[in-house]
Amino acid sequence: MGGVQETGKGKGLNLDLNLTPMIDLMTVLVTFLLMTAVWTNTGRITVDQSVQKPQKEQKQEQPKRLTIVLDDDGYMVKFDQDRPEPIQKTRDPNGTAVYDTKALTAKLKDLQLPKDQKIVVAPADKVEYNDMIGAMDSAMVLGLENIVVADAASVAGEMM
Amino acid sequence: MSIKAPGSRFGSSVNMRGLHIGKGGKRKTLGFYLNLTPMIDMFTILVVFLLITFSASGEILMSSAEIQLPMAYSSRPLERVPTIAISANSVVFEGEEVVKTAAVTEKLVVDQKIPELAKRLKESQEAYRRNHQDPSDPALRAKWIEEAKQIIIQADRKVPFEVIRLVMTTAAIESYSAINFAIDVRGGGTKAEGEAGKAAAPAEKKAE
Repeated sequence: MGGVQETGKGKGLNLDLNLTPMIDLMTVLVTFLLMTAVWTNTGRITVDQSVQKPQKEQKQEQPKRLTIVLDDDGYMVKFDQDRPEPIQKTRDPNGTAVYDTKALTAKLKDLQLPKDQKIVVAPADKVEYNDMIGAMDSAMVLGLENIVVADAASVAGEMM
Repeated sequence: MSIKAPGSRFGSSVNMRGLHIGKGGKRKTLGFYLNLTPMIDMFTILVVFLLITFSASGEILMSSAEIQLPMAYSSRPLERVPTIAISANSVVFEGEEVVKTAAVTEKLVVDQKIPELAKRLKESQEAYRRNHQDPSDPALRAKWIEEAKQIIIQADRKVPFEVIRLVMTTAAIESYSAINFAIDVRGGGTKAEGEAGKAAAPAEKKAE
């Protein structure tokens, strides 16, 4: 052990651990990890837009459908044959009108939907992408991942 | 009580006893040690933190100053599949600009299909099918079909839905029907594939 030296008169040991290689290694490791670090955590939200061909022997009753329309005023939520329920935009701390995702999550929670519930998110053309993701995320945090995206105009008829 | 000079400290490998002051024959030796303990502590904490946050998969998406991703709590980890990046200025497929975003509107696009993008997507789909042979095993074939229809949309949060819709429709026409929206994960972290599967019943093919 290179660091162990006997003192002149043979009384006791001067234990000196050489830390230089350890500090060298640490410095190289820190530099490497800092250079390769990824600071943003990116994920994905998946929707399947494939078209299912209708089956001839399909005589089962139509599954209940939940539709969330996003327009200038806020959300419009319609479940199965119920009347559409509006969720107005709210104000953020800066006073800007924003979609009320918390109210949407609360509404979806109240409905006590099964995990495989089909949800149609239908934003109007001028709605920002961020707001569409916000609506999808409101459902996904409750474990409702069976989401499809449609055009608001295409579901306008059923929202009457 | 006599005052004794302190002995050597554990870990003080940088011994500066060799430093001398004074001139001429009589030289005084400085008993000066550099305490490395705080530095080693800091390094250790930094190394542990960086090792925990280290991602071996690397970056799948090319980050762009023009694209600020929306944030979401719930997500799955990204996989390497073809990517369409949409900023306020342009629509980019696999790093190459395909069309200007201003040209992607209902009025300018015929039959809901962006021709330039459709051409690139078709080529990409053909390249995938050329490079990945259709497996005969049914289980592998199902996976092969599933992988072939995956695409990532990496769009700026301010992009209007009209542009997203036309890009999605074009992708679906060209057999890319499993659309993955790239998001920045808010807190927590991405769910593992299995975990995400537990959270919801397996997604079936949807008619829309």
